[in-house]
Amino acid sequence: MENNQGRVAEAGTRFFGRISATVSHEIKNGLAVINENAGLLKDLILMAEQGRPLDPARIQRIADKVLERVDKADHVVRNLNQFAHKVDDPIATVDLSESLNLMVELTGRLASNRGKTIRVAAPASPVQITTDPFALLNLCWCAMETAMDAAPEAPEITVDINTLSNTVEVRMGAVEDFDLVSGKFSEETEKLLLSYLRAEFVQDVPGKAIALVLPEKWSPA
Amino acid sequence: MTENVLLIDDEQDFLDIMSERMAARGFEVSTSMSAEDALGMIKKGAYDAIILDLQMPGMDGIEALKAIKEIQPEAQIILLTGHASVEKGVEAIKLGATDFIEKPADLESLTRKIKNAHAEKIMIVEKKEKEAVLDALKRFGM
Repeated sequence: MENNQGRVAEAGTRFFGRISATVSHEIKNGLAVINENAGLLKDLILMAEQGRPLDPARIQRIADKVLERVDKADHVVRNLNQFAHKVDDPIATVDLSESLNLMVELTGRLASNRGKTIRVAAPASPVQITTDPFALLNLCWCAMETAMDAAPEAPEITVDINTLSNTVEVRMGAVEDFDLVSGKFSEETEKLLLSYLRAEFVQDVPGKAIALVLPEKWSPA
Repeated sequence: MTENVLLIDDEQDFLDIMSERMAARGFEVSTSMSAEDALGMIKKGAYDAIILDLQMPGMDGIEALKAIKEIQPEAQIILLTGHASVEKGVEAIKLGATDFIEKPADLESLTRKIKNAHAEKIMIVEKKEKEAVLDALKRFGM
């Protein structure tokens, strides 16, 4: 079991790296816009020194754009901070919808690079499960990425949360390529995470969906 | 001489402000939010330098670089990257990019790179023209 936990941690490190890379790219894009706005202010000051009057409305628009991008970057960093704190406790009770939405926001650029968006449908009432919060995010991302790659035609992947008896289902559609799905979920990382979290992976071919079935109460073996 | 520059990035805010600042420095700037649209623009006209974001939705920067080089082998492409590591930049140079610069970019440094790229393109075009003339002279036995 110790060896298994080591492999889960190793998979987690790769996952952490991937998410950190995409988020830092997002932050750099924001910094680039802020940097250019600062540069534009310098250009305008230089022009003012040469006799061209400063337009207060133009300065206001630049300040607004900087504030907008700072706000956006702050949101991205807040998400990254929440993600980083998921490793604090190896076992905790989490709100499933909140965890899935965090993953969707963190991976927005990875989805948009595929020309896709992911939407989590809000459950009728909050759904909480006791689990390893970080391994849960890792498994959810594996499923989201698989759903996107296996749905070449769909611009949007929908994620639904359903409460079953002692378990919770996270269902993703509209999947088309089930050969790709089977291949992906027979890979080592996916099998390892499913086994570690005692989760099941379900393929609903007629319903064009894949699902993770997670225990409501998990404890390490 | 006015350099004719094509700026390709999926961030509208970045395109707007960069094109304004570059125009103020005397560049003639065209913009595109996707590599696919940019390829259409490159087929219609030549640019002295193409500034290309490495990571974009749809066709990414490396794929776009290969496609541009197929359309215009003499195109001078400067990659703009949010990646902090140099590996992608090195890969891009191997594939024929002229240079790369990390975001947030220093506009003065980018300006120098564009001017260098333009000078390089002039040399390549002049060399090609000279070769064509020599080839024609050879064919006529001169």
